[in-house]
Formats: sequence, structure tokens, C-alpha cells
Amino acid sequence: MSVLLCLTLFGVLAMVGSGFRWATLVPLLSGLGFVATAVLLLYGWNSNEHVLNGMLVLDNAALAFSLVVLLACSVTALAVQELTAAQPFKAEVQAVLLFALIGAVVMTSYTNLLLLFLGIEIMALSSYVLTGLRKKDTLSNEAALKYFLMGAFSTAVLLLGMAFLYGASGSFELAAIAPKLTMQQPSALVLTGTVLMLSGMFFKVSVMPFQFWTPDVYQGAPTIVTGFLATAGKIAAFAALLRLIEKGLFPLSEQLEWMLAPVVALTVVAGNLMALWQKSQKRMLAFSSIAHAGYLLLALVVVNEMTADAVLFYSVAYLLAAFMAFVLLDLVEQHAGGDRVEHFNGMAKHHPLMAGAWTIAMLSLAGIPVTAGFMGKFYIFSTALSEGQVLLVVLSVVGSIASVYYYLRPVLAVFSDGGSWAGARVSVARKVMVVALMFLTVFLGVVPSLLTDVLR
Amino acid sequence: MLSFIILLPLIAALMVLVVPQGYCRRVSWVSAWMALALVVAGAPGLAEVLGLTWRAELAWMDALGVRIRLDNDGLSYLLVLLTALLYPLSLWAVPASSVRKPRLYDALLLFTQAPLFGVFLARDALIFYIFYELALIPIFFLVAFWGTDPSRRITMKFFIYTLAGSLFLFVAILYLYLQTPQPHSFAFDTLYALPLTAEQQALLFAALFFAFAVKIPIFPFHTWQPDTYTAAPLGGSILLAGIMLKMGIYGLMRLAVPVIPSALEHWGWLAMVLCIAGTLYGSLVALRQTDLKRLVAYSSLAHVGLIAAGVLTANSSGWQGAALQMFNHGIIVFALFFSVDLLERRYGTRQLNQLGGVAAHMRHFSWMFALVLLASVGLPLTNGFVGEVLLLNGLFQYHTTAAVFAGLAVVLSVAYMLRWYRLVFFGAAHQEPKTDVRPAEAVALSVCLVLILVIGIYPLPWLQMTEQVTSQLLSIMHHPTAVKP
Repeated sequence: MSVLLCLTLFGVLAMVGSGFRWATLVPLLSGLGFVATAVLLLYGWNSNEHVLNGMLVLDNAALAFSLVVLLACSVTALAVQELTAAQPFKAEVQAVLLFALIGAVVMTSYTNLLLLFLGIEIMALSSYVLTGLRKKDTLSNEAALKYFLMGAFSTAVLLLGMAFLYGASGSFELAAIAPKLTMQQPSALVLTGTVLMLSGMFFKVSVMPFQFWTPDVYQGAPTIVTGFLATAGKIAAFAALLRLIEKGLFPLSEQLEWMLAPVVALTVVAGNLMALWQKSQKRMLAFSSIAHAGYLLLALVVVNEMTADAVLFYSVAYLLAAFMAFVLLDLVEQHAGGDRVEHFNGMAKHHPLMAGAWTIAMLSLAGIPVTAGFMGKFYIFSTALSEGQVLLVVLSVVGSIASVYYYLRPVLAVFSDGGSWAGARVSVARKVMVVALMFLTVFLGVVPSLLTDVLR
Repeated sequence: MLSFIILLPLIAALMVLVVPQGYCRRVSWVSAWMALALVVAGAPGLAEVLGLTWRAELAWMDALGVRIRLDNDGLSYLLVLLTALLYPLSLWAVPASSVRKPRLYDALLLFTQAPLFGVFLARDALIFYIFYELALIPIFFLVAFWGTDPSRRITMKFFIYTLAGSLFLFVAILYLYLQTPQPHSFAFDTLYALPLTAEQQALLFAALFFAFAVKIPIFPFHTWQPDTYTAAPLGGSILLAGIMLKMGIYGLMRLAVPVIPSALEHWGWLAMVLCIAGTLYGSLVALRQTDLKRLVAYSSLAHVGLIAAGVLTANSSGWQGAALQMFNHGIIVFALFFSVDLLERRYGTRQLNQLGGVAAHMRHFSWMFALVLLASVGLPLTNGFVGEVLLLNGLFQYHTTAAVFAGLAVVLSVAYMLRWYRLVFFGAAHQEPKTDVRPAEAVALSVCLVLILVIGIYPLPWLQMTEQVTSQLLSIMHHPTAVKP
């Protein structure tokens, strides 16, 4: 409870603060809020706290995923301060990020389907607002509207699925639904409900064929916000999906395998192939995020005791690399005036450190050893293989091979000559953040045992 | 604890990045020589006297049964020695003044050495794989940024091709890992003891063979090789042809053959056909090349095809020959690339038809190169002879037809090498006289020549070095308990 109260308190303070003269201090306040929440989350480790009559259970998995999303939210909160579009709304943006985290905590810790719905909506509303941050920009507006419509539609589908499951089991509690599913052969009601719920979740994590909103929304949103959507939003949704399967739908494991496997196969192959054709690197990263969602979903096809750990590790690895990529992409857009491959030219000459970070980010996303991304892939693939998913793993590998091309193209560009980087300055805050993310990416690749077996 | 030699070039690479410009090369030198000294000190026999061990085992990811297991034996040692030896040579061959961005160049070069050592010393499949793939990153940048013009496209092809291979290796290793009894382990010894069905072995063989065949490369997975070798800068070509492709052959010996013996029995012939076909193909194409660097690339394709065929024979003669020939090939290919580079620097071209009469004014270079050439075609008293005889003998034991065709390729190698010599060194001079080989260049070539002759005249200690380990690995394969249902 304390976590939610803390976040609400700071969120409301930040919101209210925007009208006062101390609005400039709000980022500091929200920073304090994130730190306090992190402390509370860590303090609750192993305590298994029940909140709201047990509708939320802050078990270790919930805490770990909340911490990951918290990391994503706090780096967004830091990076977003340099965004020109965010200047008039400095305080509001911080508040919205704090509220988004409330949604994420609820999404990762729910035991009751209604709370899942609430969590998703809280987080989604915050995301819509952030997407439309550039008020005067038509693309940003289009993205926000598209995102809102698609999001509303997908939650409606999710809600319908919940209703079906309620009809079949007579309860919204995961713990009460599971035994009902075990006892009998799944009825049509149950199956329809499951398919609808999964479809709703697939929209949220943007796997194929539920991905079509992603490229436009990701491209329209301010780049830092895109980083937030691709990391925080996605990871929270995956944590929720994992919880749904692990705690509620696991008796249907056989049917789930049939529902998830084609989605994974399509996502890892088509997602990577479509990324190959993108000229805009922002769109490339959008499609890459779809492909990564495919790898994450691969771990969920058959859930076993390793799955939660694998998903956690991969989420962290992906968060570090993807966010680093978006922050650097934002830099490129500012200084080179675009996000095509040639805009990266000459970065290494003027900002070798940033160029190195971009390289590490791309290598990690491509899953090359001694980066966190490789260990994440290792974890996911071995989880999937241990359940006999050889074909899906081979397809994922084929997808990864294709991905190397589009990840390395901008890396080569970074080190080539030309470009208009002369005089471009990078703020200290951004440098520190990028170096920290780069360090963590490599560190987690060299010492992966820090984050393995956290949840088992 | 000598295995920590892996860290040495890494530390040196980081130092190169931060020390003042003038000291970069010195740091690289110190690192390369220290590595060589340590490797020599760790020679079998000498290491025991000095009280040094190679074995190391460290916890890494205990939750998943991954430990950093490192060790050394004759086979590993030979390749570690080759790596350590080629580093000072390739630094010597490319003076810092002659490259753009020497700091980054040296750092990348050193950064490659660590995973190369790692691959040969690893005794854990995941660690092996990590080093195997890690070696690819710096070489990718070396070829992309220091290579000749269309190198971006070529490097991309090279990288994606080899990465495709190694990802299949990854899946195969993961699959093997999950077959091991709980708690799972990646240790080679555990993998060797796995009972696998014939069906599993066939699939694993397909994945492993593809993975290593791309790296070696074996026909028809070689298409990245000639372009990459040609476009790469000298240092990159030496690393690629001299050491990196040995990772593939080594992997075949260490990881593929002992783990999946029955698949080798059933499907080995198919791989063998590809190897021999590649050897013939490489030789025939080399006959028609006019670019000397491409010629070396295709001749290398022919030679490594023969080595891989020797590994697939799975008999002791073939394996001994393969092990020794890997070392020989590293030395010879260095000398060849170095000579081509020397000619190109002198004459500004490496086209056969634009060169001629070199022997008239580069007399010392001519006889030095003649010796390298003879070693390359396997003349008696050179190291190439010992290796090729053992390989052909192994092939004869395997199947006469294989040996006949392989022998044909050896004959062809004489043809294209002598054609090279005739056109470039004899005949009418097309260009101005140029200075003969300079002392600094002579040093690099002499080191190769000494090794060529020493091994050629007295190969026994080198063969003894690999004798025990090859028979060990082969006995794992042929041992009755390894006959799997």
C-alpha cells in the first residue's frame, strides 16, 4: 500500500505544483518520488504484501518488474527535461510519469482481473498524454489519437474477454479462475474469453498481427517518449501477461501453446524483416521493438519455473539498450536534423563516447556476446528449448540474423565521415545517463549472475 | 593460471585507447610480446618445470551451470602459439605510420586477440561460443574501416554470413546443454558423454557443420571469403586467414566430431564431398585469378578444405595432419599476404599481368618468396609437406577416391603457385626497378622461413604435441560407450 500511496502523493504534488512558482522544483520532487518508491519496493522484498484485500499482491515478481518499470520511468523523467516540447509542461510530465508508474505497479501485482484493467488504463492514459506532448505537431497529434483509439479498442476487447472468463468461472480472482479451468475440459466460453484477453494483451505488447499502430505511434511521439512507450509500457504489459498466464490461465497450457506459437513465429520473422526496409531509424527501432516483443513472448509459450527470470532478464537488457538507443536517436535528430542512416554520419568524430554507446546499444539489441542482450537471448532461448520449442527458436534465430543488418547499418554510419556534427553539444546529464546505461549493458553481459535466478 | 593471458590483450587494448598517441604502438608491442613470452613459458614440458598451469575454473552463472572453464592441451596449445606468434608479426608488418587512425587500429587488433585465445582455451561450450562470436566484432570494424573501397557491403555480407553460422552453433549448443542431466552443464566433458539418438545427432551435425563450414569456409558456404580477404587490410587478412578460420576447424575437432560420432559415420561422406569439392574448386579458380590477393584467398580456400577433410576422416593420421597443417597454414598464409602487400607497396599493383621480372631487381625477395611458395605447395623439407602427407595418408585410410581427388588439388596448387612465380618474378619487367626487400621486411619473412624449415626438417616434437590429445578425442568418438543407441 505504501508504494501506491507514495507514488500518488508525489504525483499529486507534482500536478498541483505546476501552477505554483516552485514548478521548476517539480523534477527534483519527482526524482525524490522515484527514489522513495524504489526504496519502498526494495524494502518489500520477500514480504509478499497483500493490498486492497489481496486484490494486489506485491510478491517478488511484482516488485522486480515494478522496479524495472520504475527504472524506465525515472530515466524518461530525466531525459524528458531536455525535450523542447516538454518545456511548458515540465511539472505535468513528471506527474504523468509518476501516475504511469502507479499503473505499472498495479499491472505487475494484480491478482484480480478488474485491477489488471485498472492498471492498464492508468498506464495507457498517461501514455496517450505523453504521446501528444508536441501539441502543435500534427504527427504527434495523429499518434496520440491513433494510440488512444487503438488502446481504447484493445482494452474493450480485453474487458470482453474478462467478462467471458467471469461467466465461465464466476470470479475475477486469478486464484479462483485457475481451479475452474483445471476441473473441466475448457468450454467454448473459456476459450473465447482467453483468446479475447490475449488479443487485448497482444495489442499492448504489440506483437504481430496486433502491431499496426506501433510504427506510427512510435514515430509521431517525441523520441524520448517513444523510448518510454517501447520500454516501460511494453515491460509492464509483459509482466501483466506473464502473471495472467502463470497465475490464472496455466491450466490451459496446451491451448495457450497453440495460441501463442503462431504469434511468436509471425512476430520474430516478419517484425525483423519489416525493420529491414525502414529508412527512418525511429521506425526501425519501432519494428525492432516488435521483434523483441516476439522474443519475450517466446518465453511465455510454455511457462515453467525459469520463465519469469528469463523475461525479467530480457526486459532489463532490452530496456537498457533500447532506451539508450532512443536517447541517442533524439540527439541525432536534434543535431543532424533527421533520423535516417546518413544523419548518423560523423558522430564518432565529434562524440566518440556517444558513438561507442550507440554501437553497444545496437550490439546488445542484436544479441552479440558480452552485452546484456546476448545473455537475455541465451536465457530466453534456453527456456524455450527446454520446453521443446525447437522450431520457434530456429525461427527466432533466423530473425536475429536478419536483424544484424539493420542494427549494424547505423553503426557503420556513425563511424563514417561527413555529417553536420561540428559544434554539436551534448549536455552533461545526457552524457552521464548514456554512459551509465552503456556501462550497465556491458556489466550485465559480463556478470549476468547478478540478475539470474532472482525470482525462482 | 596462464589462461588469464586472455585478459592481457584486453587490458592492453583499453590502454591503447587512453595513452598518448605516440605510445599506442609501444603498448601494443609490449602486450604482443608479453603474450608470446607467456605462451612460450606455458609450453608443454616447460610449464611443468616452471610450475605454471593453464587450468582455470571460475564461477560465472552457477544458476545455469555455466562456469568459465579453461585449460590447455597439445591441440589448443598449437593454436594459442600460432595466435601469439602472428601478433608481433602482424604488428611488424603494418607500421603504425602506414595506417589511418593507428590508435583505433591497434586497439581493435589487440581486442581480437583476447577472444582468439579464449576460443582455443575454453572447455565450456558457452564460453567457447561467446569468444567465437566476440572475435567477430573487432574484425568487422577492421575490415569495414581499413579495407579497400567497397568494404562496407562486403563486410556486411561477411558479418551476417558468419553470424548466421554461429547462431546455429548457438542453438546446437543450447540443445546439447538441455540434454545433459540435471543440473545442466556446458562442460565439454559432459557433452562428450551424452547419449544421443541417431536422429538427434544428424540434426546437430547439420547445425554444427553449417556453423563451422561458414567460418572455415567450406564450399559452398565460402562466398563471403574471397571478397573479404581481398578487401580487408593486411592486418585483417592475416587475422582472418591466419587464425580466425582455425576457430572453425578447431570447433569441428573439439565440439562436433566427439559429440556426434554416429552422425559423422552416416553423413560424414556428404561433408567430405563438399570439402574435397571445395579444395578442387578453390584450386581451379585460383588458376584463373589475376589479382594476387584473390589468388591467395582461393588457395587458402583450397588448403583449408583439405584440412577440414582431414578432420572428417576421424583417424589419427588425418587429425595429426590437420592440427599441424593449421599451424603451417597460419605461417604460410601470413608470408603470402605479406609478400603480396610488399609487391603492392613497391609496384602499386597486385595484378599478375602488370607485374613481371621482379626477380631481376628484387633478388633476395625472390628466393625468400620461392621458399614460401614451396612450403605452400608442400615440397619435402618444408612444413607444408609434413602436413599434407599426413592429411593425404589419412584420406587414403578413409577412402581412396577422396585421396585421389585431394591429391589432384595438391597438384593443381603447384600449377597456380608456379604460374604466379613465373609471371611475376620472371618474364619481361613492366615497371621500373624497385628496391629489394628491406631489413625490416626481411625479418618478418625470415621468421616464417625459419619456422617453415624447422618444422619441415624435424616435425617430431610438433607431432608429439598433438598426438595425445587427438587420440584422446578420437577415442571418445570410437569408444564403445560412445556408441549410442
